[in-house]
Amino acid sequence: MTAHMGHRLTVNDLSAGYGETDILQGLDLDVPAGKITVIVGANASGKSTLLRTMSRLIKPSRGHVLLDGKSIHQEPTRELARKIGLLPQSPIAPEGIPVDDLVRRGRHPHRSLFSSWSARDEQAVENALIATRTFELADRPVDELSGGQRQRVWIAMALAQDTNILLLDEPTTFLDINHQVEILDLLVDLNQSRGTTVAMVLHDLNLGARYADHLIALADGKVHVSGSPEQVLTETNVQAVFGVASRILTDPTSGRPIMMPIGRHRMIDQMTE
Amino acid sequence: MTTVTLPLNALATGRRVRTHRQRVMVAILIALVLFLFVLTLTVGQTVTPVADVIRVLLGESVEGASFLVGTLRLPRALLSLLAGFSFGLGGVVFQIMLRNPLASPDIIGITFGASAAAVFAIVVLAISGPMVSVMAVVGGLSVALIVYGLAARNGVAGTRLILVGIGVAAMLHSVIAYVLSTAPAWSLQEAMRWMTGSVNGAQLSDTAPLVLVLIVFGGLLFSQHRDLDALRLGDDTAAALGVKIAKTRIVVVFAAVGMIASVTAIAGPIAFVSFLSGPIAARLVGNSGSLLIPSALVGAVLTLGGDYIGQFLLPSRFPVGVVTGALGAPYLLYLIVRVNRSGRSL
Amino acid sequence: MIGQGSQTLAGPARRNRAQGFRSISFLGLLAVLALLVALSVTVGTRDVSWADIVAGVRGQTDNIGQAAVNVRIPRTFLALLAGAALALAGAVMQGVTRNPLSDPGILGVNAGAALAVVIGVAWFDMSSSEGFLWSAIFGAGCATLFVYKVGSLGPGGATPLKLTLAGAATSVACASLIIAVVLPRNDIAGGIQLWTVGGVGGATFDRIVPVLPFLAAGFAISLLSARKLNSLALGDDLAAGLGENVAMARIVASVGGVLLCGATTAMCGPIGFVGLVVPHLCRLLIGLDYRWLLPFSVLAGSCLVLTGDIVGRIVARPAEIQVSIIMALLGSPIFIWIVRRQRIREL
Repeated sequence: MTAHMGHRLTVNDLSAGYGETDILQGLDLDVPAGKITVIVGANASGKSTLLRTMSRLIKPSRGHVLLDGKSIHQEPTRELARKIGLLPQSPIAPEGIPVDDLVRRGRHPHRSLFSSWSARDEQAVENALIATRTFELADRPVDELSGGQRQRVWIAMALAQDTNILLLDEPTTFLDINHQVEILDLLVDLNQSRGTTVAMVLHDLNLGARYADHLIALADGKVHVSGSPEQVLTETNVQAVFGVASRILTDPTSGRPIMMPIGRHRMIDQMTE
Repeated sequence: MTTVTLPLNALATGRRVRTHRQRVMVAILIALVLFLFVLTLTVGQTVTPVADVIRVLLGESVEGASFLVGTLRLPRALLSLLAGFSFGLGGVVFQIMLRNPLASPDIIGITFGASAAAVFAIVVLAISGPMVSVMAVVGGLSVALIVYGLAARNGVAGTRLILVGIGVAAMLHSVIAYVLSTAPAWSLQEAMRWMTGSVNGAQLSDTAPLVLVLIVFGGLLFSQHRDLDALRLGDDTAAALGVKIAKTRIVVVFAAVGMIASVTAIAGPIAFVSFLSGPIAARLVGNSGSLLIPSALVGAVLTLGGDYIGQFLLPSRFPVGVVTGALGAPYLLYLIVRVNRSGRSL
Repeated sequence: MIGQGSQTLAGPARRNRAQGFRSISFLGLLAVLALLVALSVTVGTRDVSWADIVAGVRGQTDNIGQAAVNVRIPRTFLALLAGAALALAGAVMQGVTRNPLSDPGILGVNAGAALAVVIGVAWFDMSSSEGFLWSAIFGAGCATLFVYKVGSLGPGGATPLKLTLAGAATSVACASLIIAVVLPRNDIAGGIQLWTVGGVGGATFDRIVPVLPFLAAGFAISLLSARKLNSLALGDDLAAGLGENVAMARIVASVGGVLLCGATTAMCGPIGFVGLVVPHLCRLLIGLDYRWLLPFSVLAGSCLVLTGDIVGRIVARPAEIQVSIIMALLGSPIFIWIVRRQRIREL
């Protein structure tokens, strides 16, 4: 495997959004190198905007996204694409494209107009296919695969890009629970074997707490709280970020906190009335 | 991590099978283009022996063949070839860039923009020659800008761009119809040229600048082929892979429109060639490799073949645009039916 | 949005106000229409003195001016009919397909009618207005069925995008075929080419009268289906839940629309965009209720086509611009405006 120095991704007083209105408003955060960071928050809290700005799909209106202290919006696009990989929420597979060819597209930032396919390119694609257990699928068209397989293929493409940092925008949406767990486990595998820094937006708070080393909770375009899942997932924080009263329990399997909303009905004291 | 030993050459083998198929298909297409080109040169109302054709091409004067081949057939075949290349290449890059087979320049009004500008230049301003081509390029580019600008609202949605384009095309169509109707001296044939495209009366002097245009703009497009491949995965993914999307878009639109408009100024908007070439090429060579060269070839097959059919194989003579239009419209319907059936969004 | 006004006290009062506004608007439109009719008879490529206009309207044709006025009367009548029919057909089709972009021109119905007429003329030496009429209605019917069938394949049913594309493709297919049919026939080419650019010039009562029964039937069926269209607007499932026979409602309303389009195309050739623009403008004015929308569209359609025809007669003097070209110039920006306004996700 290629050894990388851990690149450090930080966000400094960041404001960004679509058109005139800023969704992020003066946000600061750190993505710890070599760790798994999960960003959570209510709808419209700016999770995706943050991830898209961190992968320079959106230009900030104020502040910076810094990679090792240098603003990513100043770095050459291709250069940056060798350091930060992104799996967007709904990538598009051309009709009928085989898995192998799709994963090969991940080598784009490493190739120039006239350079031919090198042994290093080949190695990277192979490693990515093996790591995501999609090697056997290499000849199959992407559109024939199941949702979970397809998501693994997209992760393989991002891996072939051979970046030290991998950003993922809700990689588990539209997947069944078994595939959600499979994808998250896979990301932990990659994090452990390659030392890849993973930062992702997740919709499911409990899965986030289950898999994150570092949890960031957004509210109103700002970081409300960040830290270990135990520090972040408290009853007061959940109330502040999601506006719902809850109870925090401990998952017997992982020892991580899990959140149960309280709501107004079906409570034990009501049931026994 | 699983450490199963795998036949590592399996990847390469599968890939070789696919590229092999692609190469074979491209070779077949090249052969077909050559065949149709030679056919146009040799077989018309009368058959000219290939030897005579070659002698004419080498500059010798051959009795009975020099006029027929040199003045009538060669310019026609050349114009068909160049038009096919340009429409095929210009169409497919639009389809790739916007990830929608319907986003081809002839459906979203760009070709009609060039055509309207050319007709306006000829009929109203009474100019001719290279200035017409310049006007056509300006017309095509302006329409591209207008359609793009009107469709942009929180980002360009593909469907909105297509619908806006259909609206603009309808408007331009009626502008062309009106301008033509004010020029009563125009024959039906000539009107048809500007409505559906024709290579009738092609002249050798017309084709030389087109070669230049094709080399410059075609080269420019080809330099973008890797970025275009990445763009097929969606704008976000392409940006993550290091593609400068805005820059690529500008280069592609400029080069493709320049190419298409230059051809349109001479041959008219040959119906549906830009729309058909890409999807047919994708069918033939598969969707994994670059489609630029295959669709340029398919475009040439369509124009050369369409012109030959229109000239000689039908009960009466039709311009090439009528033939490609009659082929293209059912294909468009078929595409819609197929996409609707499979339930994918267009 | 479906108003649930009756639950609040303000409901009935507000409804009365809306009713009043509608009635006044309706009268206003009638007045505008009357004014336009008067204009249409008096204004043209040739300036005619008032005395001659009065004489012409009385039927005298003693000099060129009077004759010109005399010719303008059937022309005005035809524009009136065509506008009303096309706008009503457009409103009905928008209701039947729940597609804001529906228009006989965009959905390929006019093109289908035109193709049928051209084939009739070129291959069967058709020349009577009955022949034109029947072939146009036949062509319009086939095109409607075909486009609707193609556009509603697959999940999601007939979405605006699918229908619009199917319609655009059908129009282009028909246009190609028209050229292919006409091109070998130099004898008829000129006449047909003129006819395929739709317009109301050269109208005579002799050609209008045989079409009137069909138009009358089309108007009656369409106007009577307003209530059905109101149910359909809620979606097929809900409409069925409200006790509407959805398939039947669609068929009946479509027959009305097809009769109107076919008959109009037979008289003046394909004219697009009227059916798109008018119902949308009327909706802005009086809201979504088809019981009001349909009659308003009839009036406003007449006004629009009359205006277009008058404008076409004066802007390019001494030449004329056919009303279909004016409609396309005016209609496509509105089409684009609608497309931009729509939330495209569903388009």
